[in-house]
Amino acid sequence: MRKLLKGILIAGIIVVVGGVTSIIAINMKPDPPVVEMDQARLALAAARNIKAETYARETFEQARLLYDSAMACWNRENSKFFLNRDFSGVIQMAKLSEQTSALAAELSLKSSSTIEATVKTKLKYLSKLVDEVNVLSRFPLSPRIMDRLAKGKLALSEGQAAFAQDMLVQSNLKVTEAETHLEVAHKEAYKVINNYFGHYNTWKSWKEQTIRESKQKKITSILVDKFAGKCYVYKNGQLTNEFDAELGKNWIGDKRQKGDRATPEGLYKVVDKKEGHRTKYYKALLINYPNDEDKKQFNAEIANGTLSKKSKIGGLIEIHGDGGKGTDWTDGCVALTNSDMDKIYKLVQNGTPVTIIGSAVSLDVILNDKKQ
Amino acid sequence: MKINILIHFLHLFNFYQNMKKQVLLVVAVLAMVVLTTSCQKVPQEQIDAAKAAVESVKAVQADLYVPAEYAALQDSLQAVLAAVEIQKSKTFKNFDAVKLQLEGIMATVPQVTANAAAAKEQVRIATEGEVVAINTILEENRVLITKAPKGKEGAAVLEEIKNEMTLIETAVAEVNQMLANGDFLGAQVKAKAAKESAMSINTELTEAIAKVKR
Repeated sequence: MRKLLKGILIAGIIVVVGGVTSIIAINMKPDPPVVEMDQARLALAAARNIKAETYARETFEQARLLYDSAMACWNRENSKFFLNRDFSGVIQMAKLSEQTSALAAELSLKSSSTIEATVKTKLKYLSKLVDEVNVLSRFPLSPRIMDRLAKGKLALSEGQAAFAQDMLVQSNLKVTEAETHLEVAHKEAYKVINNYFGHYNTWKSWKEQTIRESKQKKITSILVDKFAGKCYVYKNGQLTNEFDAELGKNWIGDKRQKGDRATPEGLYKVVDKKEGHRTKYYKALLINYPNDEDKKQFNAEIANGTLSKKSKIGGLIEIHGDGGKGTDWTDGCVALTNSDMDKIYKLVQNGTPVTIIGSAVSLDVILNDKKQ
Repeated sequence: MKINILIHFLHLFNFYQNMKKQVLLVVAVLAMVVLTTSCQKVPQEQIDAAKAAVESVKAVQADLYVPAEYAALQDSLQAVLAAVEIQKSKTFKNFDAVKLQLEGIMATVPQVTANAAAAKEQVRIATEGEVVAINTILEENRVLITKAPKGKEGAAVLEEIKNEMTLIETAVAEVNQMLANGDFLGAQVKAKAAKESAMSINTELTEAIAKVKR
């Protein structure tokens, strides 16, 4: 009995000592970084919710890597004997991840609102630019400019569609692409048209001179307005007839050499009246292109190298029939419908002045009219 | 004195010999309790399966088509992985709750996958519908071009319109290619823009023709 009591006593001592040792050991065991890891995870989720993966990609990726590293470190520490565990590294990384996530969230908000504002501003600016280019595109422009314009308009449309779907990055890319195309199209179109209208004052004086001479000399004079696509007949300074005219395919440019399909501008006169077998365009009024001024200009271009020495100045510019096709199709001549040709043919004779001008109206007036 | 101590030690030794079995029994019971409560195994297979399942959801582009559901799934997985470490840090580990959470993730995955597939299919069908609509409008535009006025400006405008039509046709080909490649969201945006442009040409031509008729 005594032995049994002693046994129980010793077993009890062992249990108590073991228990106390365990309690002390458990108390000495470091606390796991639960709170820090929770906060880091929540911060990461919050950053993801405001699209930090898209708008603050690098910073978000850093935060995610820090969180993953903290988890890996926690896992490593857990595999050690419990008294040897040290979670300070885990806590440090978790806190850093939380801070980086917060930074990513902040950057994401800033970046997305900046992109949104940029895209909105660009969309507004480009819509205005498209309106302006649309006005300019009413002029015959080079295929290169037309291609830029069409590409720009389509990219703008894609940018708008992406913006409507809250795809800001894609929208920004498309809008930037549209901006490049449309700005080039606008600049080049404006340059071409502005260059063309650079001669406006000369055209204005030619028109006035033509009407004045018609009045003073009591003669019939012809005025061709390339931009308006009209052929006017003046008798004694009074406008008597107005016909629709079709021109060379490249009517907007100055005629510089043979084959450029441009209609020349200048002060000319009828030098021959052709009909029957003498013309293939119903009836024709041959003018004296090239005149002295055209020859001077052509020779200057050959001399300064802007035209090749092999270039030829061309000729055979006429006001002829077979017009009414609804497009500018000639090689540089002025085409009227056959019925209009009949009328003008009767009104003119060899020596009748023919003045060809780019436009009787200034570019400002034209642009304002078109905008309205 | 020395003999007394020796006798006492021998008594103790005898006592130890007699009680050895009982003490070992107590220690064994204690060890069993500690082992059963502290050495519960980490459900690694279930964890790996859950990770793979979440990856498989990303593979069907759930992050693009059902981003909120995908994010929730990712958050749940991260929370479970943290819960695993919490249990591993404890002296008395218990993964029962973790196992339940993992089962929850595994149950959600097919739903998110199905939702992503449905959303994707919806975008595909809608975009294919847009392509059909664009082609119809383009066909109509081609007829309208033949009826459009071809005055001095008309010719320039028609030239521009033809240019735009060519680009829209190219865009439609790109949309079809994107659909074939599975980029439905990109295709959708491109198709919407192309349709918008085709519609704007249609309106311009219709108005120009109506103006001439008046």
